[in-house]
Amino acid sequence: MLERAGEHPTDPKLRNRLDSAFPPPAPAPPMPATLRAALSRRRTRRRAGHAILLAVLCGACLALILAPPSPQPRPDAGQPPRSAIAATPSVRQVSLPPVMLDSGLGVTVQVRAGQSPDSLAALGLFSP
Amino acid sequence: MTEKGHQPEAALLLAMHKGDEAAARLLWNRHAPGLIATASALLNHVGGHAMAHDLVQQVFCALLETPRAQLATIHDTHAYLARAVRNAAFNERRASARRAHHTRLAAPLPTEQPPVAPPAVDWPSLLSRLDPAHQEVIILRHIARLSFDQLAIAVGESRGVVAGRYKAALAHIRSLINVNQEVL
Repeated sequence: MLERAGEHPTDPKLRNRLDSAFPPPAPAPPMPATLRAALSRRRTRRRAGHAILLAVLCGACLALILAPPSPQPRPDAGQPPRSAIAATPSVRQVSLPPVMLDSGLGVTVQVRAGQSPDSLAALGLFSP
Repeated sequence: MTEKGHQPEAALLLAMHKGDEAAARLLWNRHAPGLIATASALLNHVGGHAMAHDLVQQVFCALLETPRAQLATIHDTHAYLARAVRNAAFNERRASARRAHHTRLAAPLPTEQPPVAPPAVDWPSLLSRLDPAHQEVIILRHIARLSFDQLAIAVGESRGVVAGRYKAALAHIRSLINVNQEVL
């Protein structure tokens, strides 16, 4: 309560007179009704807040439990539908039937799709 | 002593903030007597004990509206309450001065009163003659029984400033006692 050790006390006689001039305070009166009412309101507000929080949490849990399951992904997910494959031409996937060409040498040559220009040149059908 | 009586005051403060009446009663019984006496002195005894009692009650009610995070930072409950009472007393003194000024303007002129002999030692009157900054330091030190560290918290200044004000206040009181010998 007093100064720290080493500090010089100021006018100790006057300080003692001041200490004795003001006697210890009277015992505490009963806690006032206004303060008790404020405490009661505080308790009521906290209970209401807890009830609201509990209701929100229960609602969220119920929503998670009752929500329909999400659909499982199909094995060919990401692939275009088969009808689209047929409609979309692709050099690799479309197989052309062999074409019968007359080489002009009296020989009919069967040419398939994908045949290289060299092989065609060998048959006399293509000049690079 | 009940179980709550052994709890530190910080825990009692937080329990009171939740609406715990037992914790509030403990804090009230511990601090209200000194705070009421301090408030009465800071108010220059205007309004008497009832005014001081109402002021301390307001301070306790205001604790319930203080954010819990702010209450959790309080390390010295006595100093914090003393500061709250000090601030409330200053506000009430300003309001009271305004009311008194308006009342004086409307009141009739006072009649002659016979002179009254001053009491042997009128400490409250002597304190009222001090500078407000010196007066509050003397009141908080000798009525609220705050240490210098607690005084620094209550007044919102550094310990050195508070100690300097206290020293100057004592010197002023000493000069008043020496000059006005009839006060002794």
